[in-house]
Amino acid sequence: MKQSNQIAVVARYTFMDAVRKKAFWVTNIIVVALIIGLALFTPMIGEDESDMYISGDAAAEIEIGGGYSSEIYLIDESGGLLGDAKNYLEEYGMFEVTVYDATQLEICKQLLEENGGAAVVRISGDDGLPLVEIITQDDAWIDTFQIEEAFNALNRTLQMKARGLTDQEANDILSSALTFSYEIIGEAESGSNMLIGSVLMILMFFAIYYYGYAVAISVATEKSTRVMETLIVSAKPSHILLGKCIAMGTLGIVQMTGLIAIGGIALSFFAPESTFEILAIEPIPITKILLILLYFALGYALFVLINSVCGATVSKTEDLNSAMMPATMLTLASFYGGYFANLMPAAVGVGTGANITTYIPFTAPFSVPFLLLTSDVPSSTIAVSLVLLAATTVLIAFISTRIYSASVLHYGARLKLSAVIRMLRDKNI
Amino acid sequence: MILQVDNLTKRFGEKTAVDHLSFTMDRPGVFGLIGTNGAGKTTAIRMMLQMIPANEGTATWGGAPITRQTLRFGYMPEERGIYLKTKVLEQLVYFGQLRGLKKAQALQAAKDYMKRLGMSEYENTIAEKLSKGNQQKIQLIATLLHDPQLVILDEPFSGLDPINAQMLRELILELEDQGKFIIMSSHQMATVEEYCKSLVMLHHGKTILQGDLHKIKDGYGYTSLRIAGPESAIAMAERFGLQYREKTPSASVFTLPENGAAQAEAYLRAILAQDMMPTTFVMEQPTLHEIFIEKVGAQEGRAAQ
Repeated sequence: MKQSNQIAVVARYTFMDAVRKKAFWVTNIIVVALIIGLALFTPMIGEDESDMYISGDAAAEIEIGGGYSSEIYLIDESGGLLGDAKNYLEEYGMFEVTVYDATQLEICKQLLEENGGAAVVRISGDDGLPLVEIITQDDAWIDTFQIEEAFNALNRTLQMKARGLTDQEANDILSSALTFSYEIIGEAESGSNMLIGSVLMILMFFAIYYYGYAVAISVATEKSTRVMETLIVSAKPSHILLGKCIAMGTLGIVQMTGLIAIGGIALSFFAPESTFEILAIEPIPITKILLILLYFALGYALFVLINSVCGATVSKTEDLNSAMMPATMLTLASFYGGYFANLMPAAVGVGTGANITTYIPFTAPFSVPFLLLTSDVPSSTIAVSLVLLAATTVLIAFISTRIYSASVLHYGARLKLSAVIRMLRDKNI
Repeated sequence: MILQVDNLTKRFGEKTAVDHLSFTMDRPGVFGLIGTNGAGKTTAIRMMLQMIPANEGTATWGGAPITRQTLRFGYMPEERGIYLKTKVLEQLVYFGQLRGLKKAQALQAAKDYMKRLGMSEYENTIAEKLSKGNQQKIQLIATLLHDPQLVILDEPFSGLDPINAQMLRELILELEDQGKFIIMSSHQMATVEEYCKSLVMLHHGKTILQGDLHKIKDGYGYTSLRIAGPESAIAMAERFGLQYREKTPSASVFTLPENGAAQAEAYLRAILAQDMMPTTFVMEQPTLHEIFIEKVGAQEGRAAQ
């Protein structure tokens, strides 16, 4: 049988076996539900403060849990220093205004507390100058800046009228606005795609960790159930190992791609367009996407091969966690190294852009994709990093298949590091 | 085709698990690899099939080293292993494909064997729901479904109930008729004796006996006499140099001296002359079990010296 066929048979079986598991679908359903939930929640995040200052209509339509509304309880004790405030505020388009007399302040406060509303506003006069007192509830999501702006606009309109301007002229002045255009020069300090880069780094960590663990547990289970002996009379151990790694890697890419696609679709359906601006998501060139996939593939292979060896050193699945401890620590250290070096470069004493973690083969799979998304990394840096990563992966693959081949028929106590090293030196293997 | 094993040796640290094992299997049939637990049988098989590397020696099939490419072999390990959480037919197809069958071929072969072993109703059953005996049959199908030239069965009868053991017996005979080379590893001497034409006996990794079973037994000659009949006739046996050994429900057993067939014949003539007709009079060669005990005893004795 051709070697590639055997690898394909193992990969296909492992892939289908993993896909058929209930746990796989339960996990996916939960993650999809979370993604859709987050996408639904995004409009609320996107509705940030700037929207509320600018768009009075939108603000007027929002009511949150009865604690926030556009109702204003207005008491004017100033004798009309601010004119017909009720009409103005309602025309301003932000508020519903109910007028109470000066003796009803406590009633207004009670109404605010019991029925909710934006605020109680009392206008008084001091030497002919209006004083606007705004009373809000402690737990209400009210930005008093909106109310201040509305009253300022009213005041300015009255001032302009007092100086002889017509209503139209006053309105024109108040509504006039300059047009701004922006150009950013120089290298971005906090570049675009920062969020997506961070998310990708975390996703890569989870993919490597989760699928690496899955391969290790698959190997350990085959040993503990003694299927391994049946398998290795049919296929070379290295083919079994490669088939498993390919299957779980493919599953990882398919699952991640699916989840990212669902996330994208959910965002485009539920999130306002401004979300993409807020999240600073910019188009990613295909070359960068390909490079990111290459880093994922190499990084995944690097860590998964190490994990699979851990699986091969135990005879019982309950020993797996302790056997995997060194591999888990390596994965965690690599992830955090890449994460902190790129997201908090000053904290770990490296500069922005390419840094030491770009070149270390274990941190590069986390670090470089982030850099590719958030900045322009020189081709020479990518080339050196890729060569180092690929060479290490090949070396680890060679070592892993040797150890795996030698240890899959080892039963009894968990293999110690010294025994593993002896196996590596054994010329008969 | 000839299966040739030459000086296979495996050492684990200071311990030699298999010490220069050599044998030849030049015709189809059942070959016995026997020995106590820990004698090195499984290690020898693993070396033969390249599952573990040998420190010394070779195993060849038709002159070429045994590999998955040069020989279609099937191996049923002593420790049965199947995917417990997977449906039976599904995993059999997988094992068949791994051994080079196309999916349709593997499916057909698996179904045929399942029918042959009365397992058809379990095709879509999760393996862990099967009894141990049925799980063992699944393992046997996985060993045979790619029509191997060489079949290696490691302790094939362990754990089987009498009905399933009979089914396996018939299958082994069928495979023999098909011209398969079968190696049966066992520590159950009676089982091996029933099937094997030739054998290798291992003890602590060393070969203590090997060759054609009939020739081995012929070499020992007749070593015991089983007699039933008149008590007076039995009482005469010791006068002819026959040593009383035991009484079984059906007969009395005497040990013959070396080259004692003549004494037994003289004894028979004497009792017949006195009109004492035995109902049973059988001169027996030693059983494999007895030979094994004798050989191991000798080996242990040498080791003690």
